[in-house]
Amino acid sequence: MKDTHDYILVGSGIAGSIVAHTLVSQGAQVCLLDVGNEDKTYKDLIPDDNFVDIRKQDSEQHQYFLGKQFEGIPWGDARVGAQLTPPRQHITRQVEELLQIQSSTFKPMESLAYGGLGCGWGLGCNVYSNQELEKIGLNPTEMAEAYQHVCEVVGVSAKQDDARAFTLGKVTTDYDAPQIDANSQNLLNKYLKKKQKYLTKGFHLGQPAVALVTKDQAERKALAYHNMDFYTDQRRSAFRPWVLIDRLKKQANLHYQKHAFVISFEETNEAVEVSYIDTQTLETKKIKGKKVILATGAIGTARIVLRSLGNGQQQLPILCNPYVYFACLQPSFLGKKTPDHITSLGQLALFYNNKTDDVITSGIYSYSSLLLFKLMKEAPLNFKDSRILFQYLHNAFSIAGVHYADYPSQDKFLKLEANSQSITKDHLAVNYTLNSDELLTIKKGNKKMAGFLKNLWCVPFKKMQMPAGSSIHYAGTLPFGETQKAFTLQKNGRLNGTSRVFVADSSGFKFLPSQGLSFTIMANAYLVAQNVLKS
Amino acid sequence: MKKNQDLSSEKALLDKEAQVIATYLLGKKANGQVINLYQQAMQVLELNYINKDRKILQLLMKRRYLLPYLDAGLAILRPNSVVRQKILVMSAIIETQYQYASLFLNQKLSCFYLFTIAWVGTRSILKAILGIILVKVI
Repeated sequence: MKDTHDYILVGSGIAGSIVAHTLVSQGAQVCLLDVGNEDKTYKDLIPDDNFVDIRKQDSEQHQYFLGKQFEGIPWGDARVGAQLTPPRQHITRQVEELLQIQSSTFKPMESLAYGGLGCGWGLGCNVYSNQELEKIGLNPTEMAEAYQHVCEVVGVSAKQDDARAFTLGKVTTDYDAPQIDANSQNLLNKYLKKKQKYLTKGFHLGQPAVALVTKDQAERKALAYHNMDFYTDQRRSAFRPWVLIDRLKKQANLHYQKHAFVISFEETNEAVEVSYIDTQTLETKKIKGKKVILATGAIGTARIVLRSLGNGQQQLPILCNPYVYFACLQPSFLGKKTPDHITSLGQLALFYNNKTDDVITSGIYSYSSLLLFKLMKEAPLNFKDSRILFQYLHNAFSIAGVHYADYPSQDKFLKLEANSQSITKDHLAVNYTLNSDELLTIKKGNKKMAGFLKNLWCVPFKKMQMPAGSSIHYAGTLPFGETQKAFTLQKNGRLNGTSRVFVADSSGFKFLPSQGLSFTIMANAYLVAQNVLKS
Repeated sequence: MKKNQDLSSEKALLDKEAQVIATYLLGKKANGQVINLYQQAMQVLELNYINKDRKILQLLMKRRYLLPYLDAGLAILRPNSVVRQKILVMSAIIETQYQYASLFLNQKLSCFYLFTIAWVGTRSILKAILGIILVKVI
């Protein structure tokens, strides 16, 4: 390895993969540091076949549906990542050990996987309005170009419908939206019948833009409607950050350093020295780079920056979309058999925009490729009867996950505290409390969304207010600033107080709209990478 | 020698437990793989027994016809009890056996099936009432 690398990039998630792609494709020499946990247990066990056929034919299906250690069966207190299927559980491997958090109010999900949280991303792509981008601290003109570029790199499928303004907006794509399942089509048809009425009231229902390809793209195969999307990415139809890194690894100017858990950095006149723990040997190692780009997510980056520049007392803000689930029933689907060839991804997206408040966003999904025992566990019934009831009912179930926008406040912060038990000798203490105005906004929003669903005969029968952190949308720990104030970012992504350290993830966002942030993170990462090359 | 005897009696107990729970859920004897997987799962998963769980399990091994009622009662009174967790594990194992997939996959059913659903719903409420009393008595 070279003594001093041109660019050291930390993290292989959605931001890191785009930075790597931008730098490597322009000829820069990049060293990517990543823990890089992968699933090697299940990926070769899962047949390239349809969910229903697998269920009816594969005698080994219990291995990947339940897990070899039965980790797919929910057990005891729900831990972070428990909702992941066994082939996806590597996403949170080593997190409890290496990324310790102390909080009674905030339960985030972080990742040390090859591809980061992007390995389990729902693939929703949303462009933010100019007003939203300005509130975040991003330049709308630059972002318009960046969104288009990212769309071409990752491959996004979308439809021109009532949701388009909130999904891809003016960004163009070559990929048609995937077909939706019968439940979702039924809802959409009901909406379309009274479309003008709903639009007047501020409701926009349509198909989400999703980062998957509906026709072949290089080594990626078109979506096959196998409905195994929660278990495998073997066809690479869905965009996962590792798809991009796998491609870049073939190029000589990317050095991928696995098992590297970055702790901190120290800047000198000529370079930045990055300290990391080798997760195989637990040795602390150092590596030098002329420039360092942090892309480990808003929480991960905050940790590294606090260790490197903090005085032990520093508090940083944190943003996270509040999240509410509605379990709904469509009575017209009771006892109906739906086609087997469907996808679990990107069914419907609902946006409520009354033009005075922030947009409220909902993703609507069917319960089509999950196993019934998870529903049976939650029912206050004996298992035998609940199996009979759910077999009849589950095709009529829809789940609406509703996200709300988030702003910084003095009750939402994180700080680093000493912890002698931890490998890094510290943990992150997080406090996240919504104030009464925010709670009221959510209450009113829930009422609006539930009312709309009822109008479409999709009847919400259970509402679950999820714990703070469970939306997995984090931002705002090192907000963009107009000054040189410490623990803020320059517009170009450079960390104030340093001259060679850049941040490419959502740490800079001063506001978090309700629409998913992944596409905006990637577009911003592209701009930061361009700025790094220019500076 | 004694250790081997203990191990084989523990295995026999687990085998009986697996048979009882699987027969309750399926209405017939389960295949060998279901029983094997259940035994494997019980060795891997950590169960936090309290005294009442042991009493209920012992009773169920002698009076297996009480299982539907105790399951229903526990679903309301102690949904995370060890007995419920064991039934959950068995349900999950059965669901992932291709021979039993049709019991779980969605199917076209006539509107008369609504009567079956109504009957199953009523039956499960009655089982729950009896089960609550039983769980409290044990």
